[in-house]
Amino acid sequence: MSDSGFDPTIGALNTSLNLRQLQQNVISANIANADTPGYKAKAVEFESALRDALGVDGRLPAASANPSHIAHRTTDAVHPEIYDDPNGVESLDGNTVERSAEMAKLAETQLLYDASVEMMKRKLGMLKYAISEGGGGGR
Amino acid sequence: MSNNLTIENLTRSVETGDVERFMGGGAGGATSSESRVMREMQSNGMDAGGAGGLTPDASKTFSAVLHDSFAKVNQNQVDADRAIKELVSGRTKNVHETMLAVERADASLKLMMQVRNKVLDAYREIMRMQV
Amino acid sequence: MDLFSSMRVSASGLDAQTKRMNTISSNIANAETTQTEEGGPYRRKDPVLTAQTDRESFGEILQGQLDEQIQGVQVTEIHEDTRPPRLVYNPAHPQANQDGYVAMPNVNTVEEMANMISAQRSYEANVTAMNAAKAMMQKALEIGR
Repeated sequence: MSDSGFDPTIGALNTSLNLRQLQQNVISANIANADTPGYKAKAVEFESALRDALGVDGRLPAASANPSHIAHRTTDAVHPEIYDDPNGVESLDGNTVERSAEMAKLAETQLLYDASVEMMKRKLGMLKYAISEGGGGGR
Repeated sequence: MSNNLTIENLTRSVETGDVERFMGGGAGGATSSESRVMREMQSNGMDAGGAGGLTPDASKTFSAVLHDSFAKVNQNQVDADRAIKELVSGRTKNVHETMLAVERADASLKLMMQVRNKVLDAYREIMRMQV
Repeated sequence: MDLFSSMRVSASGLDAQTKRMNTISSNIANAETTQTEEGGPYRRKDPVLTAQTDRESFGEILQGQLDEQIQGVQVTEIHEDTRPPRLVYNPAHPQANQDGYVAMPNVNTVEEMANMISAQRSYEANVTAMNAAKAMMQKALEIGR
């Protein structure tokens, strides 16, 4: 989960891909255990920590004396949290997985993952385009 | 394209800030699509010319025009970065807005790059002239 | 934690649902079986599912890199249903006891059909999850293209 040397936004996208991957794993685990008695559905929380780290909503990112240091510290500090989803309704055997909700979350995670990859492609493409002075390389 | 690079055209363009004439707008071939895009960008606010987009603004020098354009391109990049951060952190779920912001940044960068290349070509052409 | 673990977890789900399907088929096929090797009528079988941490990355657990909360599923045993067999009055049957009752298997076909549909849905859901993981990995390969 490290920032790339390029650009804090590409570092943020990298972190986002890691976190979405983790979310996909948790959802797969829930789906696989949809019939296991006593299994509690799990969920991942990272979005508010990520928002703080990126300074979205006007929240300031972690302060530092040297302004050029801010960019490198931000997204490394985001630690995802896996917890038992309190919204799950217990069925007779103690299982709290709701299949349709998990399928919806799966589709959303995949879409946001793909969106992050597309953004990264474009950002890297612009970078390569600028490096190659508009001739040949890049998208 | 070379017929537009007469000394007369160049000096007039530099004085009036009319980048379009400089770019060979109106002539056929590869440059006309760029000038069309240039006109689009002008009307979208890049403002290389005057308020209407096509009339040359006598008060702005060419370097000021370029300076403004660079600032706008940079602003587009900053906006695209902000849109990406908002999508990634779940602040907005509108993927299309983010895609638009990124594509706008991409297009303005490409346009600026082409303008830069043309300017450099013109400069080299001038430097090659025997005095 | 990478997407390959996700695929292994989904694969464990597919495995478990397949085993569940097998026991359901066995139950339905033997719904009328009055005689078995152990003596007595067929007893209904039920798979017991337990959540288990993804085994292949045990080394990662020891290194503290893996989150033990991501769990796959395993069929740990096939449990025999302890409900008493149904007694059906049929004195002409060769297996009938002194009172004329035959002990029939405690298989409720309707219950088995419901379980079968549930197993099928779970199987499909696991396939979708695995496809999603695979699609995400393939998408990541496009970076820089």
